Amino acid sequence: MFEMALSALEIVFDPSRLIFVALGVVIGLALGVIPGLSGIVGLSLLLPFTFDMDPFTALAFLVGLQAVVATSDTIPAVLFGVPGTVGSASTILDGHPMAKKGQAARAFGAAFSASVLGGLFGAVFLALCIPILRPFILSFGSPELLAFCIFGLSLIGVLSGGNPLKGLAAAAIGLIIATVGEEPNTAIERWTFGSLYLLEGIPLVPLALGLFAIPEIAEMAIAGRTVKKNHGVATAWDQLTGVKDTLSNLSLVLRGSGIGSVLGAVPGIGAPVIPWIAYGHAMRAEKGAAETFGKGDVRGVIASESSNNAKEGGALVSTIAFGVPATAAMALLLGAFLIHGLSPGPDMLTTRLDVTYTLVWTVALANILGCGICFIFARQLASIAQIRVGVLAPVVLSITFIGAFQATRQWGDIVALLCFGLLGWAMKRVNWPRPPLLLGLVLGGLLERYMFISFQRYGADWLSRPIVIGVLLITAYSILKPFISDLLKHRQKKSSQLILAFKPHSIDSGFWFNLIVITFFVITIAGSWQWDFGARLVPQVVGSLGLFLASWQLTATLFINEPRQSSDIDKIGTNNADTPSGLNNLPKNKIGYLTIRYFSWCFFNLAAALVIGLLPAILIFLAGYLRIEAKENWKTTLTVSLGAWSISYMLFHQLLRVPWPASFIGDFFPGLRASGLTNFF
Amino acid sequence: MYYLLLMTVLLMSSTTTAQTAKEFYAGRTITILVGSGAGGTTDISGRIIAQHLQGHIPGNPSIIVQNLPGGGSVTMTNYIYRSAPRDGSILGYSLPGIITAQMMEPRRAKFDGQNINWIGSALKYTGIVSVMSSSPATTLEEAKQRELFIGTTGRGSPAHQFPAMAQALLNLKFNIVAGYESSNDVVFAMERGEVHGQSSSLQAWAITRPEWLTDGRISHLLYMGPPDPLAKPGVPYLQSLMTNDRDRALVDFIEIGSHMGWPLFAPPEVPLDRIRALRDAFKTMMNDPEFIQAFKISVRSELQPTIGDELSFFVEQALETPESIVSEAKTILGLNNR
Repeated sequence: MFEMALSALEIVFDPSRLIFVALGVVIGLALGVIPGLSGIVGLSLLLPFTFDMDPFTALAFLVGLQAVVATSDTIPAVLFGVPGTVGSASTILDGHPMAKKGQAARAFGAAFSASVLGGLFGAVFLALCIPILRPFILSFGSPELLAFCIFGLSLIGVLSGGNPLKGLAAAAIGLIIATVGEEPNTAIERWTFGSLYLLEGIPLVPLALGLFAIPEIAEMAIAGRTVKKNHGVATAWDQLTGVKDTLSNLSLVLRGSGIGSVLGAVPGIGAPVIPWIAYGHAMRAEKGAAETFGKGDVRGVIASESSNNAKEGGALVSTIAFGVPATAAMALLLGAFLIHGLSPGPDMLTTRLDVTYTLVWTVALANILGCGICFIFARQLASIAQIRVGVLAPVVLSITFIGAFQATRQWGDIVALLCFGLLGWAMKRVNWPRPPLLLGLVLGGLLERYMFISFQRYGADWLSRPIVIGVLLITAYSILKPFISDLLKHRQKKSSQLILAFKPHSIDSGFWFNLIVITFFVITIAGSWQWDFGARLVPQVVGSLGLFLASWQLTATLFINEPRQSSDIDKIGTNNADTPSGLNNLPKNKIGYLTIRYFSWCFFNLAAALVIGLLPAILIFLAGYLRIEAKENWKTTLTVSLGAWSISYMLFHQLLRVPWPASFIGDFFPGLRASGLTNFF
Repeated sequence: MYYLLLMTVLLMSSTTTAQTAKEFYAGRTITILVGSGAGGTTDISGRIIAQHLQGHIPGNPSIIVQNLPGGGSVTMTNYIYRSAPRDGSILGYSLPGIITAQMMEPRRAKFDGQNINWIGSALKYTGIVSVMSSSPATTLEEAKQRELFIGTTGRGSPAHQFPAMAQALLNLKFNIVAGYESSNDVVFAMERGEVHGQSSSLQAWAITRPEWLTDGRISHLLYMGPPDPLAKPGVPYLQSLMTNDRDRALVDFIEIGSHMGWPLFAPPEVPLDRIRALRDAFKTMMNDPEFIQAFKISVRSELQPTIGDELSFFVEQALETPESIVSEAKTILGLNNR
């Protein structure tokens, strides 16, 4: 085995292959930076170019690419609060506040070093696990996965910080959104309104970008200032501080990457959940985390990033050993294996161990390279945050639009982006936590799937399996722990009196939002009433719970004056694992006016896209926003809009060959689509 | 202003006619939209076809592949039928079931197979229900006595429709567990004993667990669709077990997609000479040893080619299935909610 590992090392370090690993890394980094693009896009684009390579080179190239996407997706997450890929959504929670405090370079230093350590850990894990892999992975059946989903849901309590009621209600919204689409057991279409787009469910990318990117850019645009205010240029020292942060939290890095690689290896858990679990773990386990997480604590970044990179090694494991791809990108990689005549399966752990070890080394090497490159450019990247907002906002917004569209390449992606953008903005304004909603969506589909399979197959017996019992006990303990310690404290103190009185001043925007949420749950319950049992179960149960929680929340805001008290729950309660809104110094009506303007631009973009096509609309949007909204002079307007548009054109139209959705004008004048240069109408 | 100008120029350039297929395709990029996610038989076979077809089309265009998954290729086919340029620069490559979808789900499938320009298909789909040999029942007769858990993705997929139809027509004791993410996940569930078997194809088994085909780990209960070059004798054939016309018609209906396999097609109204050029290219490619080899390596199957005009003929016949059979099939498959 050791010899195999060594000879594989030779294979990877063969200069002709090394070049391709490096090329893969550069492309992977570029894809990670652009929101909406992920390794999947790169893999499917580059797969044809590997047909003529030898299998080692081809796989090294593709694995190198995939391994570093999770490194660079941090960059937009930290700078703009825009997740580069869905995997970096949890990095925003602390990374973006750090950037706002002028610590972008430090956040990068910490993120990149945590990424490389996580990636290396993932590679080591992959290498060490090979002998015990099969029994380990085979011990995870649907009941175990169900237990894991329940455990994941228990993190909502932690992530909703500010107000557990709001957090749980937000998660219920996420769970209900996850039920959109065709229910596999009954073939009932749930909330699809006859649209083919909704039939497949709401894709994650537009939802995550809508929930996080649109509101963050909105805040930037409305506040009229850049991400980072009044701080000097970042120095190399800032980055090193970040590295030092990582090194002094080495045990957190190890735990984060442990979570990443183990869960990454289990098919069926799904990549987007993993960083949240690591983040939730850190928030619970790290000292003082409950107070500082979500406000720019570097440990939040470290936990997310280490797990995010480590999962690639883990996911590769199950792809290789079982031919069961644990993530979507791995499904493509599996395709690459087959095209090159390799059969993932037991052979890969015995006779083709050379291939497996080549992959291990590639993951390690790619992580080091990727981190190195990011490191070199981190300072320049951090200074992007200083570009003035009038220029930055429309460019980032345009990229977000095109990025969201890559999810399924249908108009629905843009509509979903804007709808969830509005929702995200409303939640941000009235201080409802957004992470639980995303987590609810990510877990919702899995939860329902594994619940039905477990019950249909095992009845109530699924609860008697040892791993299930273990995971559920851990879940129960972690949910109950703060309540128990709270109770114990209360016993020593005098119990406090709740003052019940109507508070007229509490009828504000938060009240109205709360009312909308209640209506949403009522509609959910009413709308699913007629469905077959299988399709109805989850929406009814979750809807009722959500209704209860949201009503309780409304009652509490209206009637209860609770004297402040120090307790564990309150401590978590004083902050919110979500970036607090930074617009408090602006008058309310001004915010309202600017919000309407901002979203008008967003919807104008959609309307224009429907008429003249997405890509041409982006050009008009860029120029219009720069000139009218940001009042830039013509020179800047034209340079920036034409520059940004040309890059988008080259990247998305020429290089990625995106099949653009049909616009009105294109339907009317089919001749416009005749040429490959202009078939974007 | 810029757009007006551009439009005029383009409209003019597009109306200049009398261009040969070779002139049209020279230096052009053809896009093949694959109606499934990345990875998997559909995607891989589509990519292999794309890679080899380009050399056979006059003018040697380059071909790229894009994935447009959703609704069992219905989303992609809708796009090709309704929005794609009708010049032969965008082609579709779909899962086997789109014509059955047209008949069973007219609300979703907004296309008419009669107007689609079929180019050809390289592989047919023979469905085979296989169970672990350690299962309570390993033959069709035993499956009428003892319960078997059969894993599937969902009601829309052939992996669900085949066992569901067989169960209804043969009174089998299948307990069909739907909701798995992919057929690979069902294999994995079989491996850990969560379900006993699934409906798949021998070619898919040759990719996922080739050793199971030879070491006796799995037993095949029955197969349906066209005969499979990989098949072993002795496995019961669903159609031959039918005893009356209505049952035979139901099986015929469910097998439509199987016979078509994975078709490559162009939108309606594409100039006829380009369709001819594409069909010819497809036909020559089917005899190209390099392609046969590459296909065998990555798809793990021999070719079972059907060329465009045969496909058109087949689709025309299939679309004549009586309404009563279609609605009966929908009831059996539990698709009345659609």
